[in-house]
Amino acid sequence: MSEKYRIYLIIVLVIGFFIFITPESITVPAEKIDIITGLGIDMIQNEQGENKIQSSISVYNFTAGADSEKSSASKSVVRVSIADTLLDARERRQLSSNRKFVSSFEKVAIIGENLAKNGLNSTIDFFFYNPFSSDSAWVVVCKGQALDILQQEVKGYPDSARYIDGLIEQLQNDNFFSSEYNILHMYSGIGAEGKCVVLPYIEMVDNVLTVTGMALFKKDKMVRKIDIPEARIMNMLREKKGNGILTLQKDFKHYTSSYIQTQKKISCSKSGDKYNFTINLELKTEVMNNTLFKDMEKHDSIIAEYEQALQQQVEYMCQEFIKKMQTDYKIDCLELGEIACAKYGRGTGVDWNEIVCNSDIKVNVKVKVERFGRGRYTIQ
Amino acid sequence: MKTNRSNLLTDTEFVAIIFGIIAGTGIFAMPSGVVAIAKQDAWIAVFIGALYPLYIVLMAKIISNKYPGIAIMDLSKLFFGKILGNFLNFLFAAQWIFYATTIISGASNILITYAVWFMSPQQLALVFTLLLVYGASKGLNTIAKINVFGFWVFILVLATSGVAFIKGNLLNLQPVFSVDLQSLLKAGIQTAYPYTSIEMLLILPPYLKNKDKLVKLSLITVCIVIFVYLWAIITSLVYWGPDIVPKAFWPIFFVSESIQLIVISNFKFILIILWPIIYYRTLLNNYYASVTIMNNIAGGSYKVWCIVLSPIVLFPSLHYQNEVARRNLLDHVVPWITVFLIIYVTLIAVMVLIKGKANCPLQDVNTHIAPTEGE
Amino acid sequence: MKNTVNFREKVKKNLANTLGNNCEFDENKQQVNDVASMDEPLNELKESQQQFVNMLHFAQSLVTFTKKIVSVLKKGQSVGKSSELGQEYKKLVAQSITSSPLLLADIQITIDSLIANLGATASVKVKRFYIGKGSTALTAAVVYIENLAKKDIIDHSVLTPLMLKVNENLGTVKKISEYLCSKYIVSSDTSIETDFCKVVEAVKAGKTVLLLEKVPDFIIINTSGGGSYRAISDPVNETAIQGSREGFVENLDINISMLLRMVKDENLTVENFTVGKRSDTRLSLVYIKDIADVDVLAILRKRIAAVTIDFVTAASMVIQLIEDKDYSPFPRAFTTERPDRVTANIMEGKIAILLDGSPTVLTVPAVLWEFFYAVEDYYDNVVMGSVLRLLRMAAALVVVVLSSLYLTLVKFSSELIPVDFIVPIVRSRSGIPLTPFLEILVLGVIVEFLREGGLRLPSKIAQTISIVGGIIIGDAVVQAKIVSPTTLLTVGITVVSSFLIPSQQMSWCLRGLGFIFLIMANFMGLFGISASLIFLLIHLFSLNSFGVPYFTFYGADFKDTFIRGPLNKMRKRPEIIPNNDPIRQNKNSS
Repeated sequence: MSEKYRIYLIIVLVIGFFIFITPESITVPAEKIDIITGLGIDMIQNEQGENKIQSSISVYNFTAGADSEKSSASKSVVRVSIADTLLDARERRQLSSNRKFVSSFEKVAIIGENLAKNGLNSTIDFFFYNPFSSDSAWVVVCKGQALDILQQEVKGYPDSARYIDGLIEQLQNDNFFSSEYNILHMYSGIGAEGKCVVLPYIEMVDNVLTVTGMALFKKDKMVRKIDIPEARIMNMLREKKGNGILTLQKDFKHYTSSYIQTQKKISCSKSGDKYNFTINLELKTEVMNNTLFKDMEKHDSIIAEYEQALQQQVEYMCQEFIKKMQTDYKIDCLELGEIACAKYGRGTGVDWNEIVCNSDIKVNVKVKVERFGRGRYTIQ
Repeated sequence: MKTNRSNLLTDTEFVAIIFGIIAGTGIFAMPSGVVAIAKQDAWIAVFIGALYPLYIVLMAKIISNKYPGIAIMDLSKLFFGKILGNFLNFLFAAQWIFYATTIISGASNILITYAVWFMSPQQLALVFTLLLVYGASKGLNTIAKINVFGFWVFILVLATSGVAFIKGNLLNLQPVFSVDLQSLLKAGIQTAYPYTSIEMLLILPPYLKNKDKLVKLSLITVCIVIFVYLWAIITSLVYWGPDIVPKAFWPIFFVSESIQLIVISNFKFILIILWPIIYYRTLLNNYYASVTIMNNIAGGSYKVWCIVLSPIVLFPSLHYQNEVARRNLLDHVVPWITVFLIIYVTLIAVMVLIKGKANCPLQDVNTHIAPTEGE
Repeated sequence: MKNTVNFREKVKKNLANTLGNNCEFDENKQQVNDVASMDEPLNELKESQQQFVNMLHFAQSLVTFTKKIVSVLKKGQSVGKSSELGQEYKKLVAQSITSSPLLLADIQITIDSLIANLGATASVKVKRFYIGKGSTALTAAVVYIENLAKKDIIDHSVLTPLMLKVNENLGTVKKISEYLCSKYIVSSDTSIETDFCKVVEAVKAGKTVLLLEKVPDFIIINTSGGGSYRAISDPVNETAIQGSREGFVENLDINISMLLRMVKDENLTVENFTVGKRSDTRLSLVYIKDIADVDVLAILRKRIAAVTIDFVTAASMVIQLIEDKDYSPFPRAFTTERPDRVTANIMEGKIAILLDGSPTVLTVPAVLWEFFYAVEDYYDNVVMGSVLRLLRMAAALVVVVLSSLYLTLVKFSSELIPVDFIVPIVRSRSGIPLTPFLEILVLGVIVEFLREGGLRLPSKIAQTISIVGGIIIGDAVVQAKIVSPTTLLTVGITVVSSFLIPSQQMSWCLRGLGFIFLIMANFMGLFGISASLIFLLIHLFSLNSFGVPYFTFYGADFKDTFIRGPLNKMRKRPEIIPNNDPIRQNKNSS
């Protein structure tokens, strides 16, 4: 009996030996990794005029020692390297860093404008292959080089990446922005039929990092940057829900501003070869600052007047934007193609940008005043 | 009064075992292949693929009408004689061994990608094999309980992909019924691979407590499997759309991963601990089937067969090179296996119909029922 | 043999001559039969004849016995007290006393053989006295063991009436023992015994034997309970706020009486065994006859009978000898010191094992979920009870898995750490020389030292130890940069979670499992945790406790496993414990 168990024991020990001997050198414990907050990718040209990838990261700087707890947020360090591809650049960067790079903690990925215009195909594949990549990191396009943005010092923050993280996160509260500007949405936006990627565009304005517009993409290439006024309208028409402020202004002293919550519904029909899209926007408004429509709170008719005026204003703005989109930009940035292909068939090989730009788009706006705040103070 | 605990399988356990061996591992990778062919109507292909298990259930009904509670190995020995019958049984067992090796390899690949990138596939295969021998040697009762447990873990893991209905877009499923029939049929054949292994229900009749409920329970299981596959494909489609799903190797996980909770920013964490349990359960079922059949063919002690078959399962699984090579091999081999099985099962059913029980009594055949408790 | 036969023939002839042809000697039955009614002197003669025949019988068996001993010794084997021959020897001794009127003639011989069999000569007390007065006074003796028998009962109930109150002539009484028992011995528990072995057992148990000269019976008076025992008090290890404060004591009879008080069902059965070759400790099985399962009882009886050990002092020794022999750390019998918990378990169909000298009582069969039920589970209301139960199960999971998860995250899978936690973890870990595995190990060992130390010390010092150990050492070890604060936090949470588990054995078992998980996680990361989990599941699913599966989680018992259902909904007994009577209130009362 004990002979049998002895044999079993020997076999198990031998097998255990093979299982448990792991090359420990390739495992890196947590204290020896580089924790990065922001990732920056640029395309630059070297002296020979060839395109190279410039990859920069900003990492936490942990200073071991007694002062580390006492000092305030330790400053971050930016590491940069240049090579032919992203992974080559990463490897080259390791040559001058004292810790191993692990890419799942970054909160922001900043893409330089040049690279965005050249195409993000290889970059998005790079993010997709890694099961641990930080899919919820924000993606932004920046003017110039991402390296400069990363190296920018922001008072009160160890690095600019953390500042940008907050910047993009709070975008969805105003200007009708949404929160769908992370890597996950890039996966579905670039490859899917009828969809279009838009990303916030940041630059330094008076030494402050600011979102100055949106970058419009056709597939994976950036084709256009639009400014904030147009971006707001595009967001209103593009996102399912949005929050922002709209103002009806007569002159400097007389205007009405309201806080708007939009809700959008799209319907699509086809007559012959031409597509007809109808966008129904419902605006729920809370009047916040009113010096234009006197006694609005007292008379329903004045409210109706305001609603009518706002409706016309918004419809006009939307039609103007759509005209520009169809003639000037020539991109389906409202993702109307998605609705159409869901109704009329996928994989037919048509170019939805072209079709949408040649189609008939109508905007119906409905305004409803819901709240007035605490009261109305104006004396005139 | 006798203890109300008996050594035979209850209804729940039977359903859990059959479910465990069918909907084990194919489901994780299936959507990408099917959606690549059938796009947004891939979920319809699931129904087409379900014809195969329903066919097997029909055969089981014919067989169990005349010979209830008899395993298919004994029937093949009865109708085809000892040598030919045992040869067919051996091929039958070889199928399970082959599947066991592919599952070990597939599990190693996915675990190394997601969790244990510092280990080699050989080490993982060794661990799986050791656990297999230990689990199988404990007998059918333990295996049944592991299957019930695995069933609930599986449902839990799958339920996490329900986030797709919150964040996804139902437009991704439209337009419905717009894909042509040829693509649907091709996709249907693709879904047939995850439905194989249902033949285990032909091995289990001796161990079933309510032998007359075999067909009813099998139908229930097939319905659950269809629902689960539908869920898998629909959630992947709704969340990612027909263009992105084929890009991922394991689309189901791709959906669950994207859950962003407040603190646990990485939901993979919990999933990675639960996946091996699901893989192991299917693996154990396959291994148990092969051990039971070999034990039936050659007699001997059940426990010895558990140990003897382990190197046979271990060594091939070390030689699949990578995930793509493995899937290609499966794509080539599985249709042949399926054809063999259809012929085998149909032959036996036909012989049952022709000869009937009166002409072929079962006393001549040495029916060897393996113990349910590991001794 | 030949001499005996001749002797018998001579006696027969003599008798025939004396009695004439009016009576026969029945060879088969070895007794004298009446042919016609006789006078009393003839009866006396008959009795003597009977005694003589008994003596012959005894001689015969003595001869056979000697022959057997000789043959065994010739083979070279030894004769032990517990072997078959030893039992036969005992019977012979008993027979010798009762079959020999010569021996009974002198009470001293009986007393001597009784003392020889008892063994504990120093504390065996003998009191000789006379019953009755005059020339027909009977010589009697009372034999008891000091400190096992209650002396006041002997004094009041036996000695006083017999020595002082007998005023009649007892020489004419026919069955003197019964007469004394029913008329003079003032005791509520007396019996008359003829088997000498049983008399020895009774005296060992604390009863008193009354020997009468020339009478082949022995009167046993129950005076057990002498000496002092621990009084019924709060069970030390299981305190309840709302429940009863009684706990079991060392005396088996008192324990059984506590159970009897709680369950007044006539089907409550008590089966007695003795275990331990030299200690002869009494063991009782208590169960309700029409609920408990017959198969489990059969297994229990078989295993108890097969126990061969020299002594047992605690119930947990017994359980190690009778439980299933698979090498599993999980406890398969439920131990408790509280009668209310034992009662609840008996009502479900379980069987209680009580051992004399042990205040812990076992109930078998036990299933995994029982070890997570606290004492007060059924005294609290539904919501509170369910929440607390879930809390305990979560704590059990934490004990097993938390340290290994932490180790995996820090060592292998740093990418999986939530982003908000990574910075504090890395900052706290920088500068620590030990690897994470060694850190957790060192802390674990320190905690176990403190725990063991706290158990052995007197309670006042133990409090100081916990303060010194927990706070001061914990703080110092962080300041000295031997371990990081996050590791200390993790190990601390694990330790605190282990306090929630009501059963000590289960707590120890889970901590051991946590250690195994830690080692596997150290080598294989997250997959190590999964593989250990799979191994644990296979092990649990294949465990049996006396024929009952140890771990099931499906079926109709859901009301009482993860949550605690309302009392009035629990109409059925748990299905996992096999029983005869599934509906609780369905008692077939006569």
